[in-house]
Parts: sequence; C-alpha cells; structure tokens
Amino acid sequence: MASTDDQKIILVSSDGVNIQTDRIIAERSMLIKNMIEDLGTPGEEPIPIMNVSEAVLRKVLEWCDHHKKDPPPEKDEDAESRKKTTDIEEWDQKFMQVDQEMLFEIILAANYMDIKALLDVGCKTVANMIKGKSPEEIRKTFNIQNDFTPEEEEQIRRENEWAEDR
Amino acid sequence: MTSSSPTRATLSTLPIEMLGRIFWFVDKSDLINLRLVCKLVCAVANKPFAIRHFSTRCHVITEHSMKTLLALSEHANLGAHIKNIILSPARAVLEVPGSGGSEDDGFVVDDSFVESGRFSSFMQQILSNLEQHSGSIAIGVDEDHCLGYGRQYLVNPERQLNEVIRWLVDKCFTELYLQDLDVENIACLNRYFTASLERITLEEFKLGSVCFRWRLLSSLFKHLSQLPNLTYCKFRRLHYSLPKENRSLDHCIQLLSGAYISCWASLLLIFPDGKAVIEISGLDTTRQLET
Repeated sequence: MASTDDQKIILVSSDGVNIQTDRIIAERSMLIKNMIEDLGTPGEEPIPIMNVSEAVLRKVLEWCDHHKKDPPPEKDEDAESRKKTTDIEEWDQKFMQVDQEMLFEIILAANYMDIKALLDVGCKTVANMIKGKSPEEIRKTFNIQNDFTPEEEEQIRRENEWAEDR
Repeated sequence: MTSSSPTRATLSTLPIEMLGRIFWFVDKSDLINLRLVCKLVCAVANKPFAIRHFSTRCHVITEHSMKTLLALSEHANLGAHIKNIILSPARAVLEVPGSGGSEDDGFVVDDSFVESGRFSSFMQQILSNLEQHSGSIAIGVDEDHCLGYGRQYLVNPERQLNEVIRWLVDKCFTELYLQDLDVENIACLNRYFTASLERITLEEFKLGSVCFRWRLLSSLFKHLSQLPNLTYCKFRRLHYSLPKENRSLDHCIQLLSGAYISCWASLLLIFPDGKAVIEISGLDTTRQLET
C-alpha cells in the first residue's frame, strides 16, 4: 500500500460541505480510521461525518493537524482511575478559547468522532471553568436554572456536610 | 447536535456520560458545590462525590461522629460507596494557648461511649445498613494520636483502643487490619487477638520516634508468635527511623550487629509469608532489605 502520509481524503459535514484533508490528520479520529479501514478505498469515496457541522469539523481538524504527530492514544482507561490532572498544554488552552457553544460542540464532536485526547482537553477545559466556583457562580457561568425546592436544597446541604464532618 | 436539533449546546444539554467525564476532572470540594447547582447536575455529580468523599471514612469513636456515619450508611445512594471504615479512638484538637487547663486539655476522649455499649449498637446498625448495599467492608483501627499539635499521647489511648479492638474481635470479624500502630501500643493490644480472627493484617509498624529497644520489639514478636492464627499474618512493612539525637548504643539499632540480626531472624520465623519487607531509614543509613 502507498504511504498514507500524503493521502488526501474528503469528509462531508452534517451541513453538506466537502472538506479535503490529509488522511493522517483525519485518522486521529478512530471513527474515521475505522471507516477508512472498512471502506478499503481511501480517497475515492467522501466520508460523511453526520453529526458535525462544517464550522466544528474544521475546528476539530485544526486540532488533529496540530496533534498529528502525537503518539497513538493509550488504551482507554476507566474514567474513574484516570489521573485527575487538569493541566492542559498551552496550544490546547489557546485552541479552547472559544465561546461556550463551540466548546460543547467540540466535546460532542470529539466524542462522536472518537478522539479521546481532544475529548479530554474539552472536558478539562469545562472542569477548569467549574473549579473553585460557588453553586451560584456555576449556574451563572453555564446559564443554569436552580430547580431545587428549598427542602431539596436543605437535604443536599445536610448530605454535603457528611463530606466535611467526621 | 447541530444538524438534528437547533438547540444551542450547553452544559446541561450534554449527554450524561459527557457530564460525568467532566466531573471526574474537578476537585473533591467542587463536587460539593456541583450538587447544589440543579437536579440534573446533582444527579451526575453524586457518584464521583460519593466515591471521592465516602469510599474511605475515618471516624472518631464519639457519638457525634458515629451518628454521621450511621446517617451516611442509611443513605440509599451514598451509603453504597463506603468501602473502608477507619476508626480512631480519639482525635487531637487544637490546644488553646494560655487556657491553663489540666493534663487532659486538647483531646477528645469519650470512654463512656464505648463502655456503655452505645458504640457497639451504633456499629451494629451501621454494618447491617452497609450489608444491604455493599459486598465487603474493611475496618481498620487507626491510632490517630499524633496530629502535630504538640502532645504525643492521648489520655490513656491504649485503654480505649483495646475496647475497640475487643469489640471488633467479639463481633466475629475474620479479618483485622491495623494501620499505623506503634510498637508500644500493639504490644499491649495483642491479648485481644483471638482464634476467631482468620487473618491479621499488620500493614505497617511505625517505630518512628520510639527509640529502638530490641527487648521491646522481641517481646512484641513473642506475643504475636503465640497467636493461633499466626500463619495468616501478613506483615508487610516495618518502618523504623533512627532517632536523630540519643545515639547511645543501648537505644539505637546497630544495623549489622548480632543483636539486630537475631531479632530479624525471629521476624522471618514469625511471618512465614516470605514477603516481609524491612525498611530501615536512619541518620546514617537508608537500606531496604528484602527477605
């Protein structure tokens, strides 16, 4: 088989836009990698990415381009056992400086396209937006309505005390 | 998602498993706040909250602390995540400078709570609650006597610790896990180890600041060697730090001296699981010897 490094493939976004990219870049996505393997004819057939719009897909591919030389993803560990560090490398931090809608779209796309490293960067970015904030500040940040009754809230406060009280 | 629904993507429209993934990255204390945000966020935060705050519980043996543990054990969702309970007979609290109090100031010790049987009935309820939703619970006893508030020893710590151990043994636990016990206290505990224990895990001996007196250590091992369940003993680590001061020969271990070697030989004899690790760190020497 010819070298895959400079092979081009075409992706089709959910809004019907064709985007040409390098196979090596697109294959950061396990979804695309598996599709290419299944199709067996890379480059000939455009690959539909059903759930991702053009703007988000271009953004995701920008990330994949920057990270195309990264070592292949490690085996998916259990989320609970993963190291809980929220350190994000500088380039990724800048990359994630987008509005919240785009941030969540990237997370959804990374999940759908099965790009674990990007999914983690997205989740860590959101986690960093949560860290150190009060419940009210979290609601404000993410535009969430408090739907607890005073009684329910009191119950949760009591349970929360167990975490501090020994 | 963009094509299928026109709604903007927000935190609360993310799929539950994405939210869950995010919440594994926040700090323990953030989970407390997340539970108060809204019902959906609370429901997703509950599991990481429970695992990170409740899987190992350290409780002091006082009515207040046991009430908390009881309430937690009764909770349908949160109680299920308790896996380890470490009981401490007492806990140091901050001494108030210039209070001019008696010897006992600065420590909470509640002997009557154990002696009256209230501790026992609390533990029975707690354990029967936990049996409903959890396979196995490890119970440990931790001395917790040295929190750096100046004084080393609690008011009569051995006595109450013994009560706790006796209670645990009487309740037919088959496994006892002792954490962080120092050599002086464990020597006076062992009369409560009975044949009903199948396994004793002595995870760590901390000799710490205690000057090494090999008579003390060998009498301890002699006591332990008389236990009928000896072969199940799992001795993992012996921590011994040579005292910085006081290097007089009677008190300091002589690393390769005959006395030490003979003591060590009896160690091997007593713990035949073949995996004992002896860790010695001191002023002049750091050695790790595998047997």
